[in-house]
Amino acid sequence: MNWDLLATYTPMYADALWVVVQLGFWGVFGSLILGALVALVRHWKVPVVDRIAGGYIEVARNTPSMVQLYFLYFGLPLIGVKASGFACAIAGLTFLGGAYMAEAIRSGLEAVREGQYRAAASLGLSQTQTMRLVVLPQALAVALPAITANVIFLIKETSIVSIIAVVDLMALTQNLIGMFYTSNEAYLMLVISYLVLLLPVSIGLRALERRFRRGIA
Amino acid sequence: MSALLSITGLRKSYGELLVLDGIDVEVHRGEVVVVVGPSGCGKSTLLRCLNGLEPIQGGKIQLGDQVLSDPGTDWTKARQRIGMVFQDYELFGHLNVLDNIVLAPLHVQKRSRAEAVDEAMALLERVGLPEKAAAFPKELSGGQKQRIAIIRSLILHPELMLFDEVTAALDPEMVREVLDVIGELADEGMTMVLVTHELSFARAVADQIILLDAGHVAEASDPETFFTHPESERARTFLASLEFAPRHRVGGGTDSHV
Amino acid sequence: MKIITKIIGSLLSLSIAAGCTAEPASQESAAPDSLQAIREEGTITIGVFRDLPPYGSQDSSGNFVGYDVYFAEQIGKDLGVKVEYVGLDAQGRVPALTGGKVDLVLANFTVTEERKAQVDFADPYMKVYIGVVSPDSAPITDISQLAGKSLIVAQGTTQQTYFTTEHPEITLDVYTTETDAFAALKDGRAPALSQDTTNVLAWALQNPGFSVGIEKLGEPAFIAPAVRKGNTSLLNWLNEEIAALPSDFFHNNYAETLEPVYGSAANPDDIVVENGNPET
Repeated sequence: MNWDLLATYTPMYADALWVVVQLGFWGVFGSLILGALVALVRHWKVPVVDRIAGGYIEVARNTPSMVQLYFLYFGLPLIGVKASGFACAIAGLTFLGGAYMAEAIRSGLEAVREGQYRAAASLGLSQTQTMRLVVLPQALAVALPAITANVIFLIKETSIVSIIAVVDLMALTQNLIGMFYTSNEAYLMLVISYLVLLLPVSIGLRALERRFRRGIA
Repeated sequence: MSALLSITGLRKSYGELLVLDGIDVEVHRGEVVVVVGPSGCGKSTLLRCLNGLEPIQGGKIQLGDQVLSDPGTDWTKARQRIGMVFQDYELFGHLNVLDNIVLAPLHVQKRSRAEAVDEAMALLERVGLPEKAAAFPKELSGGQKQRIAIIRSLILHPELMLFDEVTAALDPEMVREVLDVIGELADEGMTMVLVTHELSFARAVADQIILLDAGHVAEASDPETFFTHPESERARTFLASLEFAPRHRVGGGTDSHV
Repeated sequence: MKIITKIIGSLLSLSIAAGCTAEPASQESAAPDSLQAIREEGTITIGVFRDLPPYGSQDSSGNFVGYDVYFAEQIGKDLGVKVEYVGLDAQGRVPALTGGKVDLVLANFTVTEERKAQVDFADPYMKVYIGVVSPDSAPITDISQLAGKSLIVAQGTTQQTYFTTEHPEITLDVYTTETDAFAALKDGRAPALSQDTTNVLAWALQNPGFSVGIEKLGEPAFIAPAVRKGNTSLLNWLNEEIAALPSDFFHNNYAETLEPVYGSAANPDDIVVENGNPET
């Protein structure tokens, strides 16, 4: 182990870590929004759109995420849609994560009994209030463990963006090993970087789960 | 005396299945009406039609001066005049007791939190559960949950309360504490419509007993008449069936509440 | 036919084994990938490029073809063993050797100081310069034009190391495969791409609208067979083999595999190295 090398690598890994943080944040944010929309469409069985949403979930979950990313980056320019690697990475994570988030949120929505809607309505709550104040908080509490797993999954999934030339932790590691054959140092930095990122996220999410799940059996 | 609630020719069907077929009922202010009948006779559906939880296919429902069956009815407003309590409590699991009670006052009636909390605490005091304000529903017994559900409706100051088999899911020893609360409300002059299997309680508290059978009102009379010399043959067979199997239903024996 | 090859192969390996026993036991014979083991096995595993025509790639029926494969076939013939191919990416070449996945890498593998620390190179059979290809609409003819801009390279190539260390002012867009790197250039994701001059020349010929604006950047680099570090018996055999091959062997290889692609765009004498002599 070359300790000087670790010092040289540290700022590079800090940069790559920041890339992963941004990808992870926007990817999770995007997939939660998309997932919530798809879950609601499926839950309410909105005609036609429900079918499309179902198809989307199947495609997103049953095709390799690498293929999805290739399609966004190398496929879409063929029809004139060209986005940067970073944008494609976020879109790819959103596309992939949206499907998993949708299923998690939908199972949460389905865990809220019909009677809760009736009780909320009988108190005079509007449909929007019922969703916002009664249904979604409970659905999210039920869905939270699955959402947490998806968040961690998505952050780890950022490691495939190297195929579209985005320099995340994995790409940086491969670059350093490819150029200088310093596998030990590079892998050690890789592991440390992921731990630095994922441990706090994991602990934070677990605390959130405990908080949200109070009340829910 | 004019009726607070009048139902005329109410019809309700689920697709082909006709559940309520021309119901006429009048409930006067301060009156307690108990709806009884065999399971599947449409009792619960009738209650749900009254506060718009179920769309109706015909007839008229009027509360005071307001015709609720009009298509333009603003139900979020109308439902504040009609409280409803359910068999399965339906407290909101993610909120503690106090937040369950003040949710509608804050978000529907836009009352101040301080004022709503004051009234909620007074109501909790009244049903003997002030120490449970910060508890979550899952930490409560069935009887406690149902008392909270009742005051969650009461805090909106409804003119009419609907009780849908509110003791049916309770262990026998908890039925009493809930019925006591309802009894007190009746004594105070709250207008209410109850669906219940607790016939001895019905007999004690009701001003009018309505027997529903296959979507029709089979008998509507005062409790004395209903229980001692009912006019209809259907009421006699209904009562006879209960006397032979009074202990087989959920909620324990009727005898203990006489 | 197969049986005959097999018999000849085993006869050969017998005679060589006999030859070996006449000498004092050499320390190489203990190495797992040693020449003797290959001969006993009757198979040599050679790593070639999976997607870098005309050096190493698979044709429509899945057979490996190209300049490196032409040489690999000759090695198999002269060793008297069957050749088993493993398709590699640029960054997979060193791990394939260190991990014992292949005996030999013939994959457009440029000799560098960093790589010498990882693997042993035999004598060269090709020389290359770094080239830069760019669209005709915005040609890059001098490296200074790229300052502050980005340049496409493939992961694990000499170009990646060269630009990282020599031209930090240029941002590198690193793609994991050659195919993706060229696709990105076509999509206009960066102003230019750098690869060995021969590769960019070949690609530009097939892709109208692109030209090699910089043909010779820096000193020439040499391409040589690589073996696992310490595999001296195979290394020595390779050097003897390269020296013993006819002095027009690689020109013939060029004529068969590279000429159809480069045509008049390249001069074989700029590319081919005969008998391991850099001056050829």
